[in-house]
Amino acid sequence: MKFTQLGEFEELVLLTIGALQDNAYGVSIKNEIQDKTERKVSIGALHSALNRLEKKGFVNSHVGGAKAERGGRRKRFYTITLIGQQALLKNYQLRTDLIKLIPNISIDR
Amino acid sequence: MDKAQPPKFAKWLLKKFCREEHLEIFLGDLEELFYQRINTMGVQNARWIYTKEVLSLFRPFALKRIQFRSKTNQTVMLLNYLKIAWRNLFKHRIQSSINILGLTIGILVYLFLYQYVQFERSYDKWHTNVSEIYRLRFDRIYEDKHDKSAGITPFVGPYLKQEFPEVLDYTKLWQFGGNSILQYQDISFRQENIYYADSSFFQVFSYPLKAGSPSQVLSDVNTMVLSERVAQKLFGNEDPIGNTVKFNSGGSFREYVISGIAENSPENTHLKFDVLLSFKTLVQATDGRAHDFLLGWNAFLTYLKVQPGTDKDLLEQKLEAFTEKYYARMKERNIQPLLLLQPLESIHLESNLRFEPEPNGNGKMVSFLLILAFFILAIAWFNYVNLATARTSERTKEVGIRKVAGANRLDLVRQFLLEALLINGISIILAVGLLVLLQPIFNSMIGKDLPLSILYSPIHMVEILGVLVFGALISSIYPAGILASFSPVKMFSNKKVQFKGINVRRGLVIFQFAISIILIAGTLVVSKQINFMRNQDLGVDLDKVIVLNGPDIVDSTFTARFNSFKEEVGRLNAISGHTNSTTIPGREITWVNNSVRWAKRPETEVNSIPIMGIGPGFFKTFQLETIVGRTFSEDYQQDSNRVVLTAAAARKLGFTSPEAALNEQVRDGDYLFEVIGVTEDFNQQSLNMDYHPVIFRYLPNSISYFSFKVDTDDYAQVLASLESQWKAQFPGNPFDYFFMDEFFDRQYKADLQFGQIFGIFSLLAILIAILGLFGLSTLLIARRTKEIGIRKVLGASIQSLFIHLSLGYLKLVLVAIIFAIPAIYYLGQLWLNNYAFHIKITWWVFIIPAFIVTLIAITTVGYKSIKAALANPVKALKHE
Repeated sequence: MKFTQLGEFEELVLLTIGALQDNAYGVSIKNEIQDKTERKVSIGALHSALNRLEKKGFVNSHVGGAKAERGGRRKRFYTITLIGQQALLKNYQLRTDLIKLIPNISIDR
Repeated sequence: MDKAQPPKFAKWLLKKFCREEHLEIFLGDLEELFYQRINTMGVQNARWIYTKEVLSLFRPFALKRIQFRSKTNQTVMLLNYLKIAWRNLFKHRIQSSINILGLTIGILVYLFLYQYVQFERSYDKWHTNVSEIYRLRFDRIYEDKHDKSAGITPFVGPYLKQEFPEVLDYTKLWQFGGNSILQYQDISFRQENIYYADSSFFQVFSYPLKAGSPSQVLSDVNTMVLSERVAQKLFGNEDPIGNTVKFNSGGSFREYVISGIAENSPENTHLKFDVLLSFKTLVQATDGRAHDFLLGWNAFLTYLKVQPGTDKDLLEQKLEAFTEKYYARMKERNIQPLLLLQPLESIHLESNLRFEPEPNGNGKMVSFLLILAFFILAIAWFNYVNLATARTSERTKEVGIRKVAGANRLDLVRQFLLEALLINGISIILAVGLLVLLQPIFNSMIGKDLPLSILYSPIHMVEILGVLVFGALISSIYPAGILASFSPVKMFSNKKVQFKGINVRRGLVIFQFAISIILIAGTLVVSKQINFMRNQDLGVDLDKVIVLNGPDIVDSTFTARFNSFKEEVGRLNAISGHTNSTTIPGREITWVNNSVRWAKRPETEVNSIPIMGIGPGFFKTFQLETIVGRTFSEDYQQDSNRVVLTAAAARKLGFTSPEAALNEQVRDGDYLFEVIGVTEDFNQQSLNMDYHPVIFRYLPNSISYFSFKVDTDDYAQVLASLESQWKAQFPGNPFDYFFMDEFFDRQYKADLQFGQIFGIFSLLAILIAILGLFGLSTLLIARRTKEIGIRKVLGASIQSLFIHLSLGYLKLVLVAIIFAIPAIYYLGQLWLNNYAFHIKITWWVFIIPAFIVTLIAITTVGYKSIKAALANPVKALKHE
């Protein structure tokens, strides 16, 4: 089924949301990804991915936390759902399984 | 210090396109990031990135849903109709592409031809006073023929202005025959389109002047007006006004002062000039003859400008009194003279008289092409009607549900009309695109530089859109009506709905076939006629004849030089005959004397017969056979007082046979000539004209054209030797040569182009018809899948199935052939009657197109039939 697929960028976003725990919203996710991967992420691409993740049911969102530096506007916080966690685990499993099949590679190195 | 702000424009833009639910979050995120960035990269960069980020949010999920202002039921349904129409377009890909392709081709052809016709009809309409300008036309009605001439004696124009208050002004022109040489300092070249014109020329007509005043430019003796291109050639970037140009007329140079520069004549005028010489010069050069000649010299084009609101018929009636008074002598000779007014705007398409400044268009052909375009469009629309009615049964369920849900007939009709408009709209857009792309190819085909007028002229655009929308509506209203008329109860019952409109469909297919047959036959007739004309024995042999334009720059030593040139050329082995003459075959003979008669006949029985002056060797060079007597020879001293007649000229002068004319005297005005021989007739001009009677006079010094019959294929060698002789004897004269057969063929250019256009558009029409037939047979055979399956199971062979499935169409073809035959005959004769010499319409003109169309029908239908017949019957029986 199409919706359970997790794209590469989507996976990155999902992982970041998990890592940020309670403080996962647009700006923080963007900054985190940029810090960790050194790749430029446009706000459009990010929100587009978040929108897709929510449609697929991998994340939930709620609104809150208005702040002055945002002009008094609220944030949209994201949390991983159970399906999201499973999808992450499934991807992780798949990768580790596959990577074990490649000789001369050791994850523990 | 003010706090830096995010860019206002970007913010505004985001608010415009972004969906409400996301807006707050996005603005918040962006602003937060903006203030972070100010610290690291400065305000300017941060603002720039803010804008970029806003643009990155331009994504489908974030965009506002398009909202229609009034969400009435009407608009909602309209959107639904469009959606369904769009889906149907893709669901039935083959049918849709057949419809769109057919319509696109049809519309494209229509647009092309429409532009062509509009262009042909736009001739001279751009003159400011076009409706008040008439050209005088002079008819002479003989007992056996009706001669129509645009030329008239120079006296008429001034007289009419003086006598009739309605005539405000006149301008007369005399075309300088052929071409002549212009010379300025060391630049000299041969130029065509030269006229002597009255000083009123630029006041009567609206040809724009680049320099000079319209009322002044031609008012003095020895002044001239040049077209821009000629001025450019002579003077480059220098200012030509006031400079003196030498112009060669009748063997001697005269100097003209340039008094004006005219813009190049537009393509759409019947009178295209490059050099205008003041008429007063001509009057002076001819000792006044060009001014007051009443009879005789009658090659002057005379245009009148009349009082606004003048009644043409009334003025023509008044002109009768004028002819009564001044042409009484003609009446004595049983010739009825008639002076008529030809409206300026109708000259290009409706006149075709003697002395036309350029070959005219043919109004009938132009209208015919427009009708052809309509027929091609009709074929494409009929495809739509056929396919749409044939498909009705597929859509009965949809219509049923719509009806049950409350749609009334009008709603349904509206829906199907919209579908038709969608298909037509797509086709129009494609056709216009193709038109723009293909216009240059079309232009080179017709040899004219047509503007893309439909794209720039609002009137044309409205007219075309009117036709197209009207056609789309008409072609869709019938299928829409059928669909809307079904009763919903029947639609849901398992019984197959009876198709309606089978007869209409058959009728339309017959029409398409009939048109196709007529078009193929037409193409055949046109190409056969053209071939016939080009291969017809003209009476003269034009093969391997090279012609040189005679020298214009001559002096007192000319005769000696001319003789030594002839002598040198005569020594060349490769040249088997050579001659010099005042004109050549393929040109209208403008030297026509009006008072020629057999000396024994009374003075009242004079004829007007063209005269050709020739040197020795003419008959040998052009292989014109003598029937009786001899031709001219240098051995006889007196030959300049003798003439040779063609058989037609002998008949015209009243001799009962060629032999009877021999040694008789022919009188031309005050001169007496002895007939020494009579030749076969020959075609001086293309075969749409009859044999001209021609009188040959011996003028061994005529220098307009030199013709050489070549006896080898090595033209380069011959031309090289001719050129070296030419350069030696006539220095300063350009060496201009052409091949006689090509020159003669030029007269058929218009016919060839017509044939080409006709052929291509016939092909397209047939292509559209094939497309339609293919689509229709696909649909109908698909519906009979089950029937075919059952027949096969019961033992029908493939052949019998093929015959069974194709027979219906063959019957239609047969009916179409029956309808087409009389139409082919009638239209073919109509066209062929334009030609004095033409082919007869024989049986093969009917058989070949009928055969081709039958073959096409069988292949198209047969392909589908055989495919259906070969299919596995089990699959067919599972169908539905």
